[in-house]
Amino acid sequence: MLAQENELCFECHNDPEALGNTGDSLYVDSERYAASIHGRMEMECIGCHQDLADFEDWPHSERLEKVDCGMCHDDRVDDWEASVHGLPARDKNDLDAASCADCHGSHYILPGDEPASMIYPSNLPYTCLSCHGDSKLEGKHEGMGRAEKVVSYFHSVHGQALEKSGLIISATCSSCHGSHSIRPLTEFDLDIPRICGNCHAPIYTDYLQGVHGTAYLEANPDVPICTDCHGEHNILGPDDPKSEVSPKQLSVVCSRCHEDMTLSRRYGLPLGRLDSYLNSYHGVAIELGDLRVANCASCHDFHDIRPSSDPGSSIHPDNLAKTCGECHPNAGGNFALGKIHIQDEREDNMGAWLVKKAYLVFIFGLVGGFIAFITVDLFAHRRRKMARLEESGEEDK
Amino acid sequence: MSKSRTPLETFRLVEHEGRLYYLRFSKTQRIQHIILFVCFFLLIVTGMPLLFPDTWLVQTMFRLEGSFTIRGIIHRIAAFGLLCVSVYHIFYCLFSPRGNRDLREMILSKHDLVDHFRILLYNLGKRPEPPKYERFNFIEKFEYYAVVWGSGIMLATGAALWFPVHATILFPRWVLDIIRVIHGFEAILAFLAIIIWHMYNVHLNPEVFPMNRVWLDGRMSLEFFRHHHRLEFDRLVDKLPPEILERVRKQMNSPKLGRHAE
Repeated sequence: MLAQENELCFECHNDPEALGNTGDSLYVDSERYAASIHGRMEMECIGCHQDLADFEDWPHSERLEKVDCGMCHDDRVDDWEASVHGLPARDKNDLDAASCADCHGSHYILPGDEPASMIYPSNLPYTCLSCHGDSKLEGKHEGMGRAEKVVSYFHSVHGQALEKSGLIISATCSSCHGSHSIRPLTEFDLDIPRICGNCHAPIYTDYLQGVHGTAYLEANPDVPICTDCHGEHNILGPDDPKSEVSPKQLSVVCSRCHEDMTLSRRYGLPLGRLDSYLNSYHGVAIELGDLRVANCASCHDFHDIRPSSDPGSSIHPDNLAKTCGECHPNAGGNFALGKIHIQDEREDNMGAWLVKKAYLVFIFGLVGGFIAFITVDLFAHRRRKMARLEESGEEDK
Repeated sequence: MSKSRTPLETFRLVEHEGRLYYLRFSKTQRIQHIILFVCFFLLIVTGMPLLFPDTWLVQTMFRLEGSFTIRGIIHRIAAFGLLCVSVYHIFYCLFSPRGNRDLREMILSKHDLVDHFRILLYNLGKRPEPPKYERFNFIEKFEYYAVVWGSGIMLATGAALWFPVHATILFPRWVLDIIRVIHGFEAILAFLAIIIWHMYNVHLNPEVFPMNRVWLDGRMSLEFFRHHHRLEFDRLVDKLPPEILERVRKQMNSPKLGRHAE
């Protein structure tokens, strides 16, 4: 009975050349429908197209109503209605934003765990990018983000893991943004560490113990969250030289806040960290390409960053020797004695300051002496040469 | 190897293309000098960049990946070379007859201070004659002591920077920070001394321009020898046996040279 009813529809719609009044294709492949999740469940066409439920006078001519998936999938549709995609439809009657069929397809919907599904992990980015990767759409709707940025996902560790290594457990769009209940960035931002922590659990724990995580839990708006250091769609591994958290670039990332006057004043952060680092051997070597030397995180830790006053901190005086020892095996207590971030040499290392001044005076004095001596010597040579020429000239006469 | 010395060799004279020359530097000394300046050059080239990391030249130098690591390796190899030649030189000065004699010639005397003023006065036209120099004049002694002092400082501070963990067994790390300052400034000092003072004295000085070749073959013409190291020349001539003295007189076109003048 049911099958017969669908057959009735396919009599016309299974024709690849079937066109409607407006020239749209009316084609629905009966075999592909039968293979879809709804087809497998032997759903009737009129199960969704309910406006034809009581229709008798085939063929129908008018365009059908938009299908309401909420008849069955009500909780999902409720989520969607409250999301960035659903809200424009509800509030502004803007139907441009993605609705069910844009992501799931229409007649040939497959379950999400089947590789051919539009929302299968390896396909999902392409599904989302059909709108979010289109640079023509980015200005049209508020909050769509720049296409270029979104497309950069494919170069990220997550995108590469998915594309290259076939790791379908890697983060795709929905892993971070959610699927039906996608929220605007203003609400989403605050949740980012927790979201990243869904997969990167031990790092999340580390982060929460550190000075940044503690402030995050206190809802401090200035505090860096994962994306502030790692980037968003374009997250790269720390070994990738293009990554902002790669050894060479890390000091720039930290300095965005730690060399910021406003933030320094607000939280009493000591300034001059970057300069003092770049002037140290570590800083010079890393600038010139030796990536093995210490960067900010080598001493301060990556996620569990704590102030030196905290006994658990890697830079607490009691732990310094151990921290230095990570790179300098057997470093003893003496190794850590002395200021690292030298800002004012005269104050921080009087000896070095004095030696520097003494050398400068000595070098300028000595070079001055050399030059004076050489100048006198050259003039004397010239004078003697002239005198000799004059003498021989007179003799010639 | 040891063969009996010819009469010429006894007086450090050599014959070259029929003419006599004074052999100012022996082969061993010339090789020491070459090793020294090759090491010095490598150390400067691989060390100076650390003092000027932001300059275009240095940035270009290390554009190639891994080049900075190679820099460190070359610096250490050259430092080891400098250490070897320094240690050899100490033994050479203490235990070889020639080295020992030259070391004695290096000892500072009040002449060196006086000569400095004499040459200045001569250059300023206030004295008719330039001072007469011994085997090593005050300029050469100054350069020698500068190298000895500089190498000592650089080897000692460099060793501490090479092995920071071991160095900090002896002293706290802030001393190592001072040592790093010393290593850098001493390098600048050495570099400037060589590039200005030594290069003037052996290359650009009109008396030797374009180059005093004595570092290559050790030979110094008798005229140059007499002019620049008069006291040593006179002493040598006084000791020469008659037949060699006669050759020297003839070659220098100076029949009254030597004992005759006494």
